[in-house]
Amino acid sequence: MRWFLMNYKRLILGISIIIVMCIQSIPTFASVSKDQKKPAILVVYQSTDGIANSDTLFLEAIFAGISDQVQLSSVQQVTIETIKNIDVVVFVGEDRSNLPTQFLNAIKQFKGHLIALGKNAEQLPRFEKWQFFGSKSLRTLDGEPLSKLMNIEYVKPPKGSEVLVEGTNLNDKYPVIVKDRNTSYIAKTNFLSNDNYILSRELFNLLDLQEPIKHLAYIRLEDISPISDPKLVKETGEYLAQKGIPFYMALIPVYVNSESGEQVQLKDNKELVKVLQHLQSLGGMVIAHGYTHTYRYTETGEGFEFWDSINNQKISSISASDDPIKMKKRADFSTKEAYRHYLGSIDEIEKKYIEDKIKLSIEKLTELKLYPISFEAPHYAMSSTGYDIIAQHFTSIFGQVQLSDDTWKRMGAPLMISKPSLLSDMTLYPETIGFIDPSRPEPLKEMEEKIKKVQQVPGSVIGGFYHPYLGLEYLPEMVSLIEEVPNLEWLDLRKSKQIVQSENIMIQQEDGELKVVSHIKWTDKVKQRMGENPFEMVLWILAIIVALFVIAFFIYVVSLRTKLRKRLFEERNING
Amino acid sequence: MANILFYIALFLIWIMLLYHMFLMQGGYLHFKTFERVIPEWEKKMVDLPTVSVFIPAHNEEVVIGQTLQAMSRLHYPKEKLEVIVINDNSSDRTGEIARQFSERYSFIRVLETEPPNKGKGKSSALNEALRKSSSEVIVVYDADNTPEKMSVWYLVMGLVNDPKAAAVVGKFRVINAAKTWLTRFINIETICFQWMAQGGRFKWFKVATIPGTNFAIRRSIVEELGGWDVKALAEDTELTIRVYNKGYHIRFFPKAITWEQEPETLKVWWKQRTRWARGNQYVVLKFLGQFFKLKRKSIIFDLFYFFFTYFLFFFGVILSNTLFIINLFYDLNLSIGNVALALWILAFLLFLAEVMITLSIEKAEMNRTNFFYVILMYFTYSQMWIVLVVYSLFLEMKRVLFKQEVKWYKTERFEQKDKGEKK
Repeated sequence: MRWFLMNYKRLILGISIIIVMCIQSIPTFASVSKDQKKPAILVVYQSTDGIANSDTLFLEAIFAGISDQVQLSSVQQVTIETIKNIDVVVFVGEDRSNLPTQFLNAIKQFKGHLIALGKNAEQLPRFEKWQFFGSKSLRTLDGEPLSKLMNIEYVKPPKGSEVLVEGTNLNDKYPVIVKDRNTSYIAKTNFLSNDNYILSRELFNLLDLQEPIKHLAYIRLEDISPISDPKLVKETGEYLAQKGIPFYMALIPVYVNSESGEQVQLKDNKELVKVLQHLQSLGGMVIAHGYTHTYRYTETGEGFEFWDSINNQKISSISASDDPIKMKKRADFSTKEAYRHYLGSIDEIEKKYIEDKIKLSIEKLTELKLYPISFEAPHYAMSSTGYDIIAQHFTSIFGQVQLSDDTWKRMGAPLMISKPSLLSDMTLYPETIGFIDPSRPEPLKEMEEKIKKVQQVPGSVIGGFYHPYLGLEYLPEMVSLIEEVPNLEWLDLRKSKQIVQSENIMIQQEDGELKVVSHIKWTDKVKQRMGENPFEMVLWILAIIVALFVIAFFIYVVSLRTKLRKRLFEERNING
Repeated sequence: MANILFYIALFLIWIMLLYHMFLMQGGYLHFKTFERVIPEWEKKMVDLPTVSVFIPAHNEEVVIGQTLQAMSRLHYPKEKLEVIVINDNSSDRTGEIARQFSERYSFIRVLETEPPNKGKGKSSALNEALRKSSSEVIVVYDADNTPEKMSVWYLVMGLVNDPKAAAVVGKFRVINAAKTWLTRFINIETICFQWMAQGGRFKWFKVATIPGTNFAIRRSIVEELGGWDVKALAEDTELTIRVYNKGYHIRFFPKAITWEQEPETLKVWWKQRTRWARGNQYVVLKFLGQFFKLKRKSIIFDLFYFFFTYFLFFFGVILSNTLFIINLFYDLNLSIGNVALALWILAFLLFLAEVMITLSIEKAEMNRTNFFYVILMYFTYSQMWIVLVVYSLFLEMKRVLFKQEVKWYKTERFEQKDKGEKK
């Protein structure tokens, strides 16, 4: 009996270990646990120009973090029909105006969760009992002091509703996020910056969703270019590999010297290529980090590549040597048609520019047997046109999202893995904790604070990057800071499905397997080399011509030798 | 910066090499075709012009006898031929030996230079003979030459049949080729020079350099030009350009052959070549100065060739060598890849092929010994040229800066006992 009991205990222990292991090995691709059905969410925006602004786009991205069924729609387009199968309607009121009756009628029929943000909520039937008092400003939000006054809509929710987040101004308290069963109100629309954490944290509560427990994390070795020190790259990569951490390498295939405009190709740094291939075999995954990391002649790694940072506008000329021209405004054109035509022509330039660079980036890396499985824009900067093009080549992207076509400064990352509509169906692996900046007094401390903040949000991604030129100086501490986060799992894209393609190349990552199909023609390679180094190409042509002549000359020699015997001896033979 | 310099060097070197390649092709074609006209030309050799053979001699006792022996055997109607030994200020037995020959052969005579032209060098000796002779055609031989029997005949044949040719240039071969390693190199070098530079240039541009020896020129033209330039160290190059500028061409007719001595010791070689190099540098600078006055623009090509040879090409080679050495110790980050190596190998193969063609033309010259000498030559003899050109440039610069007067260095002669013995 005693024997049985002892074994019984062991059995229980064994089973529980197996159960724990099973739970841990459940794939955690999305932050929401599997058994719960993901809600279909419709983000409806209302703005004067009918175009979703950056606040709306960012909100959409945040909601995309909790569900893969998120649609974005203008208030004009919403009908009873469009919201028939929707579980959650998120209404974003940007400007004060009258809402279309069609939309109001549709909402009247709607039975699911309704979240209204910003202005015009009082026009919605569900908010009849809510009282709106216009704009007010806050000095604290969620218990934290604000560095600037923050404008919100002052609302008095009906009795029985739950104030989830609150702000104050001196002695006055104002609700910021309020839930009244399946109706919620959020008193502002701008959630870029820190407020992102607050909203993301409360979403599960607002929508009655189960909070995910896990956090995914990743470290990207950033800005590895042809002039990177192979030793340091090796050191940092091997350190991560030894710790069993799947890691990412953001590679730039070409280095451009800002002074001379001279280009160094990755293939010319053979040692580095070897190191990278070695790290790839150890589980390092390649991210195409642009092609040169420059537009015009700025130093590689410093410059923007897919955004004109000098004029803070989209790419408007193909050639790096062209003078940066400020894009024209609507006021420069007499008709709307002319302006649209102009914008179209700029779009074509931008598309071609990005298309060419992406193609080169993918092909150059593949040629070196470094297979990119994802993309990251230099400085994360890119217009929506750019994202459209990237989406034709990649299925995922790392970093943050530029939310405006007018400035790169409106940029942000939702805290969860998502497919924001702006990214045309690409999955975003957000960078949330920044990087180790050795110029700061306490770089590790800063990162620690960021991690603490991010980990408060259930299911958030702890994504950061590290520059290999720093060697191992900060990397072990950075890793342990991340690993302190409870329920952490390192993001491993080898287990996900990724497709990267260009005209001639197809890279498929699926179930831990990487398939590469390449159809680069030699004529294309020659053309490419011609563009990169026309002088060298001329020299090769020269070499071919000379080689032909050398062959001809040797034929002459042979023919002279054979005819020699037939010739008459007319000259004295000095050598006997 | 290093990259730009490297490309410049590469550019300069390869312009030169490509030009040589082009000349080689021409030289080969010329070899294939130059003899075809002879049967036709022989028909015109009836009413022959009178010929004076000028042999400027300054202390040539070692070789003059042999030279005059060869002259005595020349195939040309003796009544139309005179051989003039211009004894220029010799302190040895030159005059005596020459006089012995003049006594024996009526068509040989000795001319002593007189002050103020005495001892002023080759050009003034030739001018002296020009004044004191009257034949229609002038042929010049150096005192160490042993022309083959038919050489004057062929030189004149060229002039008779080619009215546009002011001069006809023959081929010279090295008599002491097997003597030392140096003469072997010189032998290979001269064969190359004849077929590439002379043959090639004649084929493409109808121009050949009038060498110091074995050429025939019409008296009318020499007189029109006012004789030889006494200031020129390389009187031949200088004359070439002036003749060409008058609108005539200069035919290279390798049927006319002479054999001449080459320096057997490095010291003699060095002095002789320094004179040539300085002479050519003088010519280039003289005519580049009158660049726009030159009537025939195609001569610019030739001048440019010299300019390249003595200035740019060497600048390129030196630049490239310097970069190579610096790169051994300090990484210049040269961006050029394998193509540089390919070009380097091709340059060597091109050299090899070109030399082998010219040697093959000369029947027995393309043998195993010479093959190894050719390979060795690329790394030794050819490189010696670089030092030489730099040195002579330095001398020329000094001369111009300090206004020194040029002195004519006479190449030392070596006694050739019995040609038959040489191996």
